[in-house]
Amino acid sequence: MEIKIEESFADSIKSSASLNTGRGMVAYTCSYIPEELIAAANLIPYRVYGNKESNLADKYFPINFCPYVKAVWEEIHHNTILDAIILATSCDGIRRLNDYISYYEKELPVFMLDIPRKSDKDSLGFFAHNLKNLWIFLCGISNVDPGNTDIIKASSSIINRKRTLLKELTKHYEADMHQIIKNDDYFNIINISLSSETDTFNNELESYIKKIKSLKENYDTVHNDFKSNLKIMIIGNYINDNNFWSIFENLNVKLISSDICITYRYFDIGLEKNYEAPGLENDIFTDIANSFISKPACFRMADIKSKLNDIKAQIYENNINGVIFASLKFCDNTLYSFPALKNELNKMKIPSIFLDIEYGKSSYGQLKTRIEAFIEMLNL
Amino acid sequence: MYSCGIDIGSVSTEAIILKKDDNDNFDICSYVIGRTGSDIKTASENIFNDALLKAKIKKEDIKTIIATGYGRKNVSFANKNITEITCHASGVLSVFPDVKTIIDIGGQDSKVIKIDKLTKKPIDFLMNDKCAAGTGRFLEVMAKALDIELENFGKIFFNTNEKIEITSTCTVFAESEIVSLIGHGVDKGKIVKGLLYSVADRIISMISRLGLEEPVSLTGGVAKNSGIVGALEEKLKTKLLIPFEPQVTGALGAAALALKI
Amino acid sequence: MGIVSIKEKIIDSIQNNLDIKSVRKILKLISNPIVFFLYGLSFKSVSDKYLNKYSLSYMREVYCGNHPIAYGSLFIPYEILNSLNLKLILPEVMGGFTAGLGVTDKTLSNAANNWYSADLCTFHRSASGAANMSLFPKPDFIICSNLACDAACKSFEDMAKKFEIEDRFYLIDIPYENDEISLKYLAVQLENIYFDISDKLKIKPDINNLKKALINSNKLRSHLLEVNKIREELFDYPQYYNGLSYILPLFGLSGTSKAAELYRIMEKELKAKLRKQIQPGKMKKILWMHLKPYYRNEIFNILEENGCRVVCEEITDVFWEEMDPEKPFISLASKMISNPLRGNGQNRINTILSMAEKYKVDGAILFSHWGCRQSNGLARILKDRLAEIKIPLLILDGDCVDKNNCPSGQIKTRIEGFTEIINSL
Repeated sequence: MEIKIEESFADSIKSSASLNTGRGMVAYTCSYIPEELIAAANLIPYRVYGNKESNLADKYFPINFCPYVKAVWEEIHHNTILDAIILATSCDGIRRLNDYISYYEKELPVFMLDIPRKSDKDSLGFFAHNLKNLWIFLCGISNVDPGNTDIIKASSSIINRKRTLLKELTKHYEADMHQIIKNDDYFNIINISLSSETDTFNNELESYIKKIKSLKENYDTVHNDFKSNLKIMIIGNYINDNNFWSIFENLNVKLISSDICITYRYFDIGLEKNYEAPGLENDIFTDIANSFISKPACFRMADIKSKLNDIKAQIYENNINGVIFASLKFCDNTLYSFPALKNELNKMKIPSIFLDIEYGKSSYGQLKTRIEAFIEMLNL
Repeated sequence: MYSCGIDIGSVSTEAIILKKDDNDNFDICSYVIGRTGSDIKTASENIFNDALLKAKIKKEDIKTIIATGYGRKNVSFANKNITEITCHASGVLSVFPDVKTIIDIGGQDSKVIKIDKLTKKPIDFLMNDKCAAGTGRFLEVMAKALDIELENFGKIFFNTNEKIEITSTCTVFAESEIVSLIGHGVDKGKIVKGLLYSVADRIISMISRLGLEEPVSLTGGVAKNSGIVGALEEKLKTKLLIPFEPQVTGALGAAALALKI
Repeated sequence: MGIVSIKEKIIDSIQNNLDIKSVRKILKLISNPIVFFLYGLSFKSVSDKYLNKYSLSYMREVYCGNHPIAYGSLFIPYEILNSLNLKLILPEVMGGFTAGLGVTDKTLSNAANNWYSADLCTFHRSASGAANMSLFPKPDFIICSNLACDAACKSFEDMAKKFEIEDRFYLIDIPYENDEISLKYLAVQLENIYFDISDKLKIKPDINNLKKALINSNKLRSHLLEVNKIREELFDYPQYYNGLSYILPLFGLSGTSKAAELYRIMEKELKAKLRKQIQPGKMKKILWMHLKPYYRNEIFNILEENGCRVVCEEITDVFWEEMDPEKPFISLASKMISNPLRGNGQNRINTILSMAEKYKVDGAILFSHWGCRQSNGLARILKDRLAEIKIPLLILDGDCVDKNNCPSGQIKTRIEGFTEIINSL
């Protein structure tokens, strides 16, 4: 029996598409921007996906420029329902996006969250200060009293529930040898989580997981023909394109421990731990700063040595058979990290393949051939 | 037992029929090369039927048909489809079992496949990006700009001592660079030699990433051009192994894999 | 044998024997007093001559193996490193040198073989290739910042990993805003680096040395201010003079007395030229953005042949205030944070607009170096903003390092088309 994602998450999809919730909506671009602050200000956080189809962005940006930035620019240009957009100092591309919005889309309030590249005490304090400024900005959008930080705690618990459920979903997906949760379904659910109303999504995900559990029990007793899935690890940046995931739909592989902007880096955040930051005023912003700086790091944030060690640990722990390194084109932070990673993977004798992703405009035919050939190679 | 491999490329489609004897050796019963055109379905059916005719067998005689190439998913009568990477490797290894590096230069893409010396299986590969530089298409465009038949590139390569460096790798820029060189009265032979070296450089940059291991085989339609073979052999400092009909290697590999199913 | 052919011979020899030993041999050869004298004669401008002779003797010190070496990215506070007597390699500048020496085919293909994508900046790719090929002495420290781009942090970090000095790799994190908290955040980082490097060098930090470096840097600044003032009026430049040739002293050697001296000489040279200047007729004034190609090219000649002259470059603008040697870290942080390439693009736009006004330029050229997201990303707004004040902008697509990515025919046509527009205004 197949569980259809569109049916299981109908309300969530509706909450993002029709925006009937009566609440304002704030777009954000990066997993280092805390959703809880947006939600606490009574606004719906929307991880902006970008409009991949139109070509207006080419008139503004150079050809060799981040396709995600272009897609976001395109979407914002046509979007009339956003109340604000939060960007982060993730990269030069996003810095320029901020310039374009400020100059050509003056009506749309934009906030640039400065995220330090380091995790020492000073950086943490600096980040907490910037988060506080973000909070004040958001409160200004929705007329909320910025002094009332208790609402952030309440909002955190809802967002944390989403994170916990997404981790649970991942656990089921990765352990599921019957492909009850199909590869593309798993990523589609994450995609839905990025733009829907959190409570609605949490409830639907919870019942989806229940269904999966009971199906699995059923399968385990009836079938014992486990599929011998290859375990593939995808490493890269903001890959959230359904066209891309659909390549994996019927392949006999499991995408384990994916290290991209929408998987662990997005939902493996231990906010509930309430870290004690030594020597710092222990307010809610320091707590958030601390937990976001300690979450699984991206290539922009991590020093390459620890990042490679993390990846190595994941590969050994999960018996990964091959690595797909998928980078959006022209992403300097990711591309500069590949030589060291490739070198390490070669030493470990882990086969790997490098893919350039054009975000929407890519020739999926060629990508498909490359991925299929890679899987065939691993299967031989 | 018969099998068929059919390779639907961007420019041409090839079909090959193999027959396996009791000792697991196979013979080629027939092969056909045709143009793909805009209708993959019709082209693949026609070429497959031609191959059947030539082999003097019926469709029912064939146990397994494997399709490969960029149009592999559109061959409704195939039992399975496998990518051209795996098929090329299988095709080359069935002719040259000791090959460790395979270069394939097709109409719109080029690839390098590395074969593990112990397991005789592909262990890594690279394909060119979407740009046409370093492909058959690049050479075709340049031949047209030079007004020289592509087949004559080989003769020119070996009869010319000097070369002109072609700095543009982009097909469009290279074309205008050539037009301008011709305008300045530069000897066309030198331009041809420069072009062939520039294609060879593109391929070699892929090989360098994977690490060159000999013996090396060259396949794909472009392998029929002795000029590119000369340029690559000179730069790689090794003799290239070229299958009897380099264009059908993908189809051959598909058919060989089909025999194992 | 003429001087020019000696130069050609040396370049040939470098191209054909690409390793650190031959670089050392060549540096030694040029340092021979007679050769060194002849080498100096090959420069038409006194400033060029001083720069090149000094760079060479500096390189010799760098390559001799007797000093601790630091690699640094372009916009870090070199006053600190110079005050600690570190000898410096600026890989990005070296990337430019590889282009000048014509060895980028080799360095770039080395980088490609090591999986550096062709979509990345060639300054960094070529430098990485050269470092892989051991063309530079091994570093004891690597210091970089994300000012003005992401590329340096990542490519320098990769080098630190290759040389196994991760514990001696320093990333200066540049804040996005220019406010008190950001300034303090930056100053603390600089202070920590200063003391940590001193510690690792096992020397007692002598803050007086650092103060002296700031005084030298201030001298450089005041001479450069004068130079730029002269250039507002100057057309008749010394032959081959180009503001974009002075990246090494302006950044890497800041804090040294030699760099201050160079700018004193430059001020004197240009002042003398201005005094003798005959009114130039109808020469059009051009503002240059980003860097230039560092291999042999005709761009500036084509401009001059068509009646245009580059009179200012964004990179030679004095964007920072005079520093207070008594507060070295906060002053250096303030210098970094005032850099128009930091943070919001508006900083850069404001600088460009005010330069355009100050130098009364007729047109502007943005050299759109392949793979430079931070600069090219702003091209469209720059074009629109300059159009508002009626200054045409040519976005010249090319590559500062890889000549193969910069077709000369195209470049010529575009520059000529642009000069036709300017001359018709």
